[in-house]
Amino acid sequence: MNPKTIDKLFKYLFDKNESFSTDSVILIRNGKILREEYAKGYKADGTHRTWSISKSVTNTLIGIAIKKGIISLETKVKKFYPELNGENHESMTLDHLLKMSSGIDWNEYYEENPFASHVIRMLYVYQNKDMASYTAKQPVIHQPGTRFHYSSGESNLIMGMLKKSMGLKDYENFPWNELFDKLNIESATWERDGSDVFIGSSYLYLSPRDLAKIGKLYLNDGIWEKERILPEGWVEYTTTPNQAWKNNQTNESKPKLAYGAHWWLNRPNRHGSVHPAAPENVYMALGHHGQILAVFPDQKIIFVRMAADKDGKIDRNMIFKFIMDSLK
Amino acid sequence: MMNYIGLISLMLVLTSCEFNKAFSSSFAKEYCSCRYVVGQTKEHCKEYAQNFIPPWSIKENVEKKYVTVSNMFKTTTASYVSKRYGCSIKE
Repeated sequence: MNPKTIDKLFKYLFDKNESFSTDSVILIRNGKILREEYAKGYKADGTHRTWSISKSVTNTLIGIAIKKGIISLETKVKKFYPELNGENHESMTLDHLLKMSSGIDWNEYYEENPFASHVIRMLYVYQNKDMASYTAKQPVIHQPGTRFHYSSGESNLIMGMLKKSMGLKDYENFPWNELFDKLNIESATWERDGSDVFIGSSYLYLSPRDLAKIGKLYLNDGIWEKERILPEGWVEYTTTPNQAWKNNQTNESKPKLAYGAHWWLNRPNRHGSVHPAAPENVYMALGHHGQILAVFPDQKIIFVRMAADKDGKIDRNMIFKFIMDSLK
Repeated sequence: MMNYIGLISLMLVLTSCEFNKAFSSSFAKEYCSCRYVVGQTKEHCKEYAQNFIPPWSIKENVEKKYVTVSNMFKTTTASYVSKRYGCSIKE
């Protein structure tokens, strides 16, 4: 990779004149750290909020649980959450939740009207209670599997199903025993709600280097140092645009980020890709305030950015353009 | 005068609904995690945890690793549980 172009990338990422605020960045190619940089107060092994990147690691835990026969994609949500109600709710499965297509009525957004936001209620009014149950009580308003609708509630419902599939004792150690320890991840903190369910939507904390290990696991098709951690075909399942997202695209008038199963994809709709500078098969775990884990499968590149963009948004396409330009 | 009545009405609505708990809860939770999971300074975390309405009071016990926040007629305590499980809202 061209070091001068990499310099430009890092200069952009840490530019104090910009409205965004980068805390740490790691660029890896072919398994080697090409460059990493930290803002004042941050370091390689210091843990950081990942926000919705937690959702993508929730996908990892579910892949492991499926491989171990604890749960399956066809497992019905109603089996564990009888309070589920509304249109054809009996048909809702774990697969629908992973694809954000449960059909549950949900308002994820809060900046315009926080009072109407389900996510604020879930995270801050029901945190010391049961977030999965709160989500399950919202009515199903669309046939499950037909419509993509991003919802943090679905991630917590997934984590609730996982707990009920295995019991608290195994569940509370599961992320460490089956994932973090195997990947030598030492920085992980995963906060829980009042019913001891990991907050799969939002509250995993990792160091930048440990987050990069999650990217490496997916880049290696779910294999870590010769051990298969994720089931065969899981990364393909995760990184293939889901049918519900495709259904939504008929009404879209511009490019939209594609969605597989709890990971974002740069796959195009009929108007193109959201990040035209990046290859279409790039997949991403993304979080609030500018957290980014991006995997470039063909180029064997992993990019991690942790941040606190409270005022402005970084231009991801610009980042990807620098990365691709550095390969020329 | 109308603005004043509107503000009083909004305050009455807020005090009567469960939503106003979110103001103290979000500050307490994010402040606790910022201090004891991420390991940042008090000043940094106060700025980070700030939401729509500034908290009325913040009481932090550094030794026992908990914070109690009051805002919009509600009080929330968030405390550090462990390295694995971070912070959680108690009440």
